[in-house]
Amino acid sequence: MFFLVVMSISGIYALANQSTNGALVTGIVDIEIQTFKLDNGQETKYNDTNKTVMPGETVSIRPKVCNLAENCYVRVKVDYIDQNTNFLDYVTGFSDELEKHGEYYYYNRVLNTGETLKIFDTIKIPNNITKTSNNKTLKLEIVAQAIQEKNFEPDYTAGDPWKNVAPIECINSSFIINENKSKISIRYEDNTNNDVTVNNNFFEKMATSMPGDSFKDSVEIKNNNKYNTRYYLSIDTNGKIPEEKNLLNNVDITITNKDGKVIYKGKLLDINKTLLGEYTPNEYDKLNFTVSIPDGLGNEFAKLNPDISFVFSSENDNKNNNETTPSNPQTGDKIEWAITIFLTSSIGLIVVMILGYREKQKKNIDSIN
Amino acid sequence: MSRKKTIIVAIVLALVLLIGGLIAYFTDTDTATNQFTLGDEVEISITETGWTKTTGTTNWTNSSALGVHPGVTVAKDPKISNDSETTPAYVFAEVIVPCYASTGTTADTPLYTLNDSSDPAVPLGTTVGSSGNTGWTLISVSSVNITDKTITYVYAWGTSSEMTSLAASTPTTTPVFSSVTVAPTLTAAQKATASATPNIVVNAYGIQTDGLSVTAPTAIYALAHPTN
Repeated sequence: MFFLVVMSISGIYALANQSTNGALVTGIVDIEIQTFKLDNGQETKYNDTNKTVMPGETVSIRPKVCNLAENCYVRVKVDYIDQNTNFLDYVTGFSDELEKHGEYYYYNRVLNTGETLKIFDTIKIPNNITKTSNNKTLKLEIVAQAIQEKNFEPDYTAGDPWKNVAPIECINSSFIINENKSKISIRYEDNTNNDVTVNNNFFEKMATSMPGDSFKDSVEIKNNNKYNTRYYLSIDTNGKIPEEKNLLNNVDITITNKDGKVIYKGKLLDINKTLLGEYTPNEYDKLNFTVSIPDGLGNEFAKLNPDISFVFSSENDNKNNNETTPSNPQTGDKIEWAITIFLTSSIGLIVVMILGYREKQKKNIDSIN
Repeated sequence: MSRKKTIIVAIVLALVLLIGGLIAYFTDTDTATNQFTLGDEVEISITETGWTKTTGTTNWTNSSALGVHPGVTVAKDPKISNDSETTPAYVFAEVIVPCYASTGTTADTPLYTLNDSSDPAVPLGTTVGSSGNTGWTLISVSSVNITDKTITYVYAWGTSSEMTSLAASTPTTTPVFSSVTVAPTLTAAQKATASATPNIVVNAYGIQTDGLSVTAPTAIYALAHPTN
């Protein structure tokens, strides 16, 4: 009987932690100018960064803007020789999807992930260029800039369609899709796994977050205890780098109950044993969570994937009477509990066996006598 | 500053900072810089065996050519060299020949014929497409300029349909022509109708071989010697 009791206690330990498919991963905007040329009709890489040319010569040079990351808007600027030279007079194949506003040419649609935008096909050296007028070298400089597509809308009626945003280089220049994301985990303390239900796709859509994004999900609570019970939420993080913790310090969260009452509104990391509500036995609630990424975040928050745990805990009126409900050991990290109980029950079984043997011996002696 | 004004200024500054902080998105920028280096300019020169340049002028003189009589042949062999360091060139020779009036007073006949050799002197053709000396082709013949009393022949280094590239670092063409012969039937009266200084003028023109938008010798000559 002792063994059966031990096995049934061991079976409860596996439900204290829950992994989900959700993750908070911030995206990134990453573009690159790649230059090609036509060689006998074949497009090949253009590697001649200092080519010797003659006046009037047409050079096959095909610059393209390549999108290596999230969907974005793109604009370009071309400087050729000097500020008095209009490069359009010397190029062929200039993209008809580029529209001039101010000093930039704006791509008139979104450049999606993996797409490229060709700027032009060839450029001509002016016929009348001489060494004395331009020293000996001519410069062709192409600048491409990109801004996230999500939560941003260019205003082409304004002087600056990008609303005075000054693009800067992205933090991580090589964007690699990380298949092993840090997932959102749920930790249940005080037996709350019996009362709190979180779906396995909790905040799954946060896997590509951009400034200005907002995500919703929900959690169900039903008090299956005999007492009124208060449920709490804490946020735990194992941020590996300061930027990840800094990101969580900026992420906003709002929690409302099924009646729409705001339970909490503030920063995600400020949630620390925050009371979600007190519920009578069998009372049910559905809490709605809204997580928002502020639209004021800059490139330093790109390509981050912080570790986040939602920790649910509780206390009830039974605890207030100083009768504490023993908290269950957590799966995998309290093995000594199992060993302790196993040893205790083993000792108990041995004692029972010894006592039973002695009783038997006594009966045998009595029967002889 | 009063306390009220100080508060107002602080609020305005905070709003400016807040708005500035809100204008931030994920962005990126990239720059590609290409440089083109101009090749060496085309430099050409004319040389003639036996003729020397008169100091301080563009004239070439040959003592054998002074006081020549009708029918006399004088050696004259202009050659063009490409003196560019690295730039190959197409070259042309523009030969301006003085004329006289064979009848009346209007100049209509070249005073000299151009020959492909001096001994014997074999006149070169005077129609477009005629060959000059080896390697040269006559691509243009003007009408007689009655004001200047001259006729102009343009020879291309190549054929009538394709130029020949003259490599850099001073290789030289063959002579455009090898000698000139004074009109054999020239009379004193006819000589009087020619210019007082009946000199043969040879102008050389050169142009890069790369980056030209045309291929026909006459079109390339128009680029090498634009008249406007």
